[in-house]
Amino acid sequence: MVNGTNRAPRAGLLPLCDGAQQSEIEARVLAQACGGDHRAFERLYRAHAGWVFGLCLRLTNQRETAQDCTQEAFVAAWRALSRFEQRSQFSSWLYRIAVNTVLAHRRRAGGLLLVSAEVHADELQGVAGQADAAGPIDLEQAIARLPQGARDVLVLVGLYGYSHDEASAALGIAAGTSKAQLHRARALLAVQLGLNTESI
Amino acid sequence: MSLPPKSLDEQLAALPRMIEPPQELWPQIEAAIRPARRWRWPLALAASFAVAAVSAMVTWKLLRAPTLPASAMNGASLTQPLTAVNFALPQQAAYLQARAHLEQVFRERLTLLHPDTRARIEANLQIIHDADENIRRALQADPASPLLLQQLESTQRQEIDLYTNVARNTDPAIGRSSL
Repeated sequence: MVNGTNRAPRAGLLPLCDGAQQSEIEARVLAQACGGDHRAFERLYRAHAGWVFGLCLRLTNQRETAQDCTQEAFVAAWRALSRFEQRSQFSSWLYRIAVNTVLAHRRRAGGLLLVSAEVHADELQGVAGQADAAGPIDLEQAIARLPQGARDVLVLVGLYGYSHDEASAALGIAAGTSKAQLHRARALLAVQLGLNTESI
Repeated sequence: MSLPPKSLDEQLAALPRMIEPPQELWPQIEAAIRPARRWRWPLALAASFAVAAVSAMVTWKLLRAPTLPASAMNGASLTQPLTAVNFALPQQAAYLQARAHLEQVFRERLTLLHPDTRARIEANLQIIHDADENIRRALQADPASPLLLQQLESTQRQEIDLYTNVARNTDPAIGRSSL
């Protein structure tokens, strides 16, 4: 449905290298980090922090909470590195940790992390400004106003390339529920953006 | 002529996935993942501290057993009351004065003990002094170490305890006639 959402993040490591070189270098950096090298882990942080923070911000709608979750996710990732299986993709593994961190935060907060659309939209204005002027800002606001369940699925599946199986597993819902929530989210977004809902 | 509105998929695809955190988070992350600082002082220091603790205990037990007749006890300082030592402010003049007095009593009463007992107590005191010196050396490299400071206080306490034990157990005023 959304082009490009399954691409693994690459920015920040070695932007002048091609994909294969980057994979090789990231694998080496990852191996060093697994061996306890802080500097190597910092390189992984630099490469993935933007993606993790973006994910956390869209799931939480609060900058401070998103920062806390980003921080916690990287600390948790460091502590779990010894259990990371090199054959799986580090980015996917890291984002799972980030999603789990957000969900744990929500549980601890007792549901206080509910939608705060204005705050979220403000946070994202600067980011959206770099893209097409009106569209992205409106879309960010519309996403922020979605009900939490619909927003979670839209963010994971629609933006960050999760499959419905992965999203449902991460969110603790059935795959069918994930599909229904995505459909609901898209319909609500279309209404908010004044788009034709028939094509949703 | 205005352009047709972008489809939802196009708009979603145009959204940036990466959003850099507004603050640098790495320093906090690094602080959280940094392993607990390893103590730079050698294991021997810990061992000497342990030995000092055991020595103090041995000395205390030793002094519980009578070894010397009461007739051996005399001298001016033998009847002087002991001054309580306050550990809270070890650099204060009152502490240093009390400690000096206690040590003086200890030295005098040490001469009253059986040579074997005296030798063992002196050996134990030397162990405590060695531990104290080792800890002080380690503190030069790591002055704020709470563990080292705690151990330094503990060795000083053991030294004072040893002085006190010897002085009290040789005090004619309490009727303990022999060591």
